[in-house]
Amino acid sequence: MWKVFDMADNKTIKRKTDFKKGLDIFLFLLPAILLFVGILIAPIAVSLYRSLQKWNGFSPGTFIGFKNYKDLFTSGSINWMTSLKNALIIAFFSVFVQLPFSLLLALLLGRKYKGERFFLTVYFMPVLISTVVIGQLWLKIYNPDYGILNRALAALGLVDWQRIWVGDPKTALGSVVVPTIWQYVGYHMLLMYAGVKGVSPDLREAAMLDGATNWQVDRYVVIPVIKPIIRTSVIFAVTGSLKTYDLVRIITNAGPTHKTEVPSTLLEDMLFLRNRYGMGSTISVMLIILCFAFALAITAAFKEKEY
Amino acid sequence: MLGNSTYEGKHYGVPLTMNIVGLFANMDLLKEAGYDEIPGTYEDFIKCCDDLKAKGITPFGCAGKETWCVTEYLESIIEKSIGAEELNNVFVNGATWNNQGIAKAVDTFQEMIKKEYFDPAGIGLTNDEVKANFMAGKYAFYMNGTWNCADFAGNDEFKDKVKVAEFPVIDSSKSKLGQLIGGPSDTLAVAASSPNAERAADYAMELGKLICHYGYLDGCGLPAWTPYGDTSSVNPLTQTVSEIVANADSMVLFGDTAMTADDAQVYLSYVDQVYGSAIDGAGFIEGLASDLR
Repeated sequence: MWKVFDMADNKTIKRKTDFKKGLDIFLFLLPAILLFVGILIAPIAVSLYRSLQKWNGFSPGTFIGFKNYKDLFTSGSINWMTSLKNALIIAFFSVFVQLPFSLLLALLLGRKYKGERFFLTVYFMPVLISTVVIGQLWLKIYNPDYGILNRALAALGLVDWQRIWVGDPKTALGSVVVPTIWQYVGYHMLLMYAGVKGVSPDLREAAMLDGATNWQVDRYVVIPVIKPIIRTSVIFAVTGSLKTYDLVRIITNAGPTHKTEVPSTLLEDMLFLRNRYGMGSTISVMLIILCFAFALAITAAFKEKEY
Repeated sequence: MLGNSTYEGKHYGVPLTMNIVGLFANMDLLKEAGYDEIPGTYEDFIKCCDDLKAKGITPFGCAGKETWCVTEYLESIIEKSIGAEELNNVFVNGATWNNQGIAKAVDTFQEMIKKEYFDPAGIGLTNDEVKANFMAGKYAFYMNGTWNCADFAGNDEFKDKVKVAEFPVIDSSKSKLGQLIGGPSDTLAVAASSPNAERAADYAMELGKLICHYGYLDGCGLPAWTPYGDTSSVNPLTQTVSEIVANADSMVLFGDTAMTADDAQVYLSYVDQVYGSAIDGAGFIEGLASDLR
């Protein structure tokens, strides 16, 4: 009888201790949870709620079910499919042109060449410059009258190649893709460079002793080790491309004739020019879904390759 | 004229200023083509454009990166083709966009683009860039709001070269001189729910008048209220515009201002496609008839 009482007492004390410990953990986590819910979960939930409404941002919204989602894909005055296609084209070039180039630079700088720090700074510099400045800079390069691009083509006798780069539907998207890639090469290079520098010198030396060339060391030792960083870069490049906005707005203003429209410019037009906050919320929900889906798909693709 | 601030017969806004679309001309360039004045008839105007082109001068600059700039041309051409009343009915009174006169006017505009009257680089430029090109003597004509008078008149190198006129009539059986695009679009309003709404409204009224008065003196716009005091210091360009407005028959508010925000963006999207030659007049009216009504 006495022993039973003792066990029960112990259990009560343990329960109280566990509860106190749990409460402590909860209280310590509470500020972060509140921040997370307040600035991430709640806005997404509100966007989801508003995406089911016809709402002009001022008067009370009207519940319309999934009509906004249907209109997004079917309305002739909303260029959703064009904008999505453009974002995916930018993502394609980011992944298959920008990232390999960043990787190449990271691998080269990782070989401890003379002037490593200098080149690291030079390549990273475009990341530090304001996107507005970069946009204006490239606009000057593309200017059909005095731009260096058309001037250079004329000097090389390639007058037929001259274009109104940002105004021609055939070249407008390309004129956005080039500076986008140029601007963020340094960003991805720095991520990968940190990974390359983190590769153990023992692994490199062992491979070299076995007769591997520099490129073989990079191919069979360094790249497999930094694969998680490459995966992160791919996720950043793809989700960043889906959300791209600033350079498009500055260089082409989503024109000509909406040929360079991207989801974020469309979202801005819906919210602030057309007062269609319900449709704007629908676009933002679609962007969130797409970013999550691509992030998961990329993670899965890299996992598969690891086996 | 106060249609933009009138709802169910009551005025809800105090106009701050008003403007119209003006046809600005660089007279130095026109002189090179043998013209001392801006041609007054459409036939002479087109001949002037051809003569300018023959001299290697681009007649027009228009900023494609800001679609409202394209409407300054297109709406003037439509108005001078179908008349102010018909255009106003389409813009604000619910008349159908499926109007053959509008389609024909759009084709007229595109014909001017095809004839290379417009600087092809304009499609990738902002209004500031096009305006700078005009002031630098790259184009002979620039159609835009008369708020530009202050900048043109304030530039010592340019002020003596520039003149302003009304776009000529294209179809005299439907339109006439004195039918303009513009009007008082910017207004001050007070929310009925605001504290001391009456006092705020009185203040808004006086403020509106003052902004209007000094804006006119500075050449930034035309007076939406009767000007007072000495107005002789107003620049000659703005005074010319004042005369044009004083003789005006009717005005049609800028399309994107007259429509609701959503409709205006759809409309601008179609205007954009017209300037980019992605659609013709028929495509313009059919698209708008289907998307806006």
